[in-house]
Amino acid sequence: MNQILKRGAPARSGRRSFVARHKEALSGLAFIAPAAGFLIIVMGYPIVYLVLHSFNKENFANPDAGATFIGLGNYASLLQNHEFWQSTRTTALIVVFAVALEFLLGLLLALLLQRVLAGRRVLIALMLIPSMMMPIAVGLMWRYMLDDTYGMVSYYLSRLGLTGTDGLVKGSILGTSHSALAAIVVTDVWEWTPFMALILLAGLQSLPTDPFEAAAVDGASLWQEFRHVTMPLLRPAVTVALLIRIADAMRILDIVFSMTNGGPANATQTTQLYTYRTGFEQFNIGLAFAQVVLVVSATIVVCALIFRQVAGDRVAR
Amino acid sequence: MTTLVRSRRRAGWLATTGAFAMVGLLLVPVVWTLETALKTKVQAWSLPPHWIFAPTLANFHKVLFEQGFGRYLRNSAVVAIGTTIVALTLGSLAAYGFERFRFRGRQGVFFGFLLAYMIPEMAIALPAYLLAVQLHLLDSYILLIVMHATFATAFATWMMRAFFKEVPREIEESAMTDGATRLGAFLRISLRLAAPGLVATAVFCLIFSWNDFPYALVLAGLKTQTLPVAVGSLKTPAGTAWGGIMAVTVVAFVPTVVFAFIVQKWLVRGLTFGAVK
Repeated sequence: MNQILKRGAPARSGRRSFVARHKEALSGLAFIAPAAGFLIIVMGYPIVYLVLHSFNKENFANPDAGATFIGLGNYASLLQNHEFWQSTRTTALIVVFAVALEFLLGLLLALLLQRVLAGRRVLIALMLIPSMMMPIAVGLMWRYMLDDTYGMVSYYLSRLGLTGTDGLVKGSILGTSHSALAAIVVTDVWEWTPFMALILLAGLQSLPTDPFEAAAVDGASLWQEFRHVTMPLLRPAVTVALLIRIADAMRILDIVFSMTNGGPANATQTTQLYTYRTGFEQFNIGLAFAQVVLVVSATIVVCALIFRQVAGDRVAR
Repeated sequence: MTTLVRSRRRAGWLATTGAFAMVGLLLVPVVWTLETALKTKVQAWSLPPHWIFAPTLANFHKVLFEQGFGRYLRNSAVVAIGTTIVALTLGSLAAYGFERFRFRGRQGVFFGFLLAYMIPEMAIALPAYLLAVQLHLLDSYILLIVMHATFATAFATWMMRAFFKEVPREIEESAMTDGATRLGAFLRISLRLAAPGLVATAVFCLIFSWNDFPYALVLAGLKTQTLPVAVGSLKTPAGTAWGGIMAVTVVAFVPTVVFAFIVQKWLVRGLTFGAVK
């Protein structure tokens, strides 16, 4: 960070014009301006709108009529709202379990791929499939496989005794709260583990070879090498992979929509689904906006914390 | 030494087997979806699951020619292409600005771009709906394109930045000594040298837009309905025609996978450049 500030600081010179002094910054901003302007107008305006209207009591079905300013009223009622906390908890659980599993499995797959003797290109091509698939269709696909009556996976699980009267899940998989949540995590893990693996593989392949040679000379075991050489060097790639996946998982909607639609009894209703329903089905626009403000603030804080890590890693190198 | 070589070799084969097993397992749902799409209703319902059977294209015929999914395909294509054009233009300019110039607050502005990619779509979609009502833009292609272009532009900026980093500054500088302007050097040299990256980024933008559900759910209407919303609204009561639904699923993902395969090399590079550089 310091480095950038120093380099960015223009040399003081009284005679040179403002433009000449700030040529570097102005040229850079000129290239950035069209995109920045576009984003500020298209996203900034809705954001200002929703923040202002989060203090109102308003009906979505009839936005022009009856907007009453109620101050922090929506926020207060949100904090006492069971559904709000439940959706927050559900989303947090999905983020934690899905991203952790994706990271562990992705790392394993990346380490395997790095040592693969043949067919790496084919494997990488095939690995692209899940992440390129339409998430809403992925949800549908898993819903079918987990279907009570016709599902292929349900069938094998019950044959293995994991479901059914004596199994872990007594009822249907998508009809029981815990297993429905687990099913969503599994689906997310299925879709995004290969993506995680590809980023980590690229990280592994870009590492310098010297530290590994040194570790080999010192007679380090494979585990020691992994623990003390690979992991510390891989940190920047890990942070970026986690940043992308955590931000994505925090706004999970599509898979949930087509797999469980939030059920059973709101057990799998995520924050995004709650926003949609409060705003578009219950027409309680002020409450929906207040919830969006809280969720987006949380997203920004989490992303900023991780981004600082990423930026720090970059400057360090 | 030979034992070390031998054990490395054995580890290599173990890793190969492990990687193929993991990827193979990953593909089981995809294979099953393809198979179900090629089954009759009765075959799709029968348990234990049939992995080998006589395939039929009836489901695809029904979906594409009787249920009118062709229209959704066309809408999705129009929006995806529009989004890609906007995002590539704005994104590559911005990426160049971030990559080639150093100034105070650069990192902060870049974080703003990242946020544009990371803010939940539904957060923007609800107020955008109300604004679109006022502007009479609801159910128009332009609205969907503009909204999709937000996250696509942010992503394109992130990805193109890594590709511009690969273009040597010296080539641009020598062009500028020969009288080219900054913009000229960007258009004629950097953009041309980063062309493969541009293609990979374009494919990502196409796929993002094609797959988007939240914006389309809230902002598309009868006229502009895109594929994801049509897919998401398929009812699934007991005894439902899973073969047809899986055929729709296949129609939805085949274009993205085909595109991904065609530019596979650059796609993976772009994705991971952005991540590690």
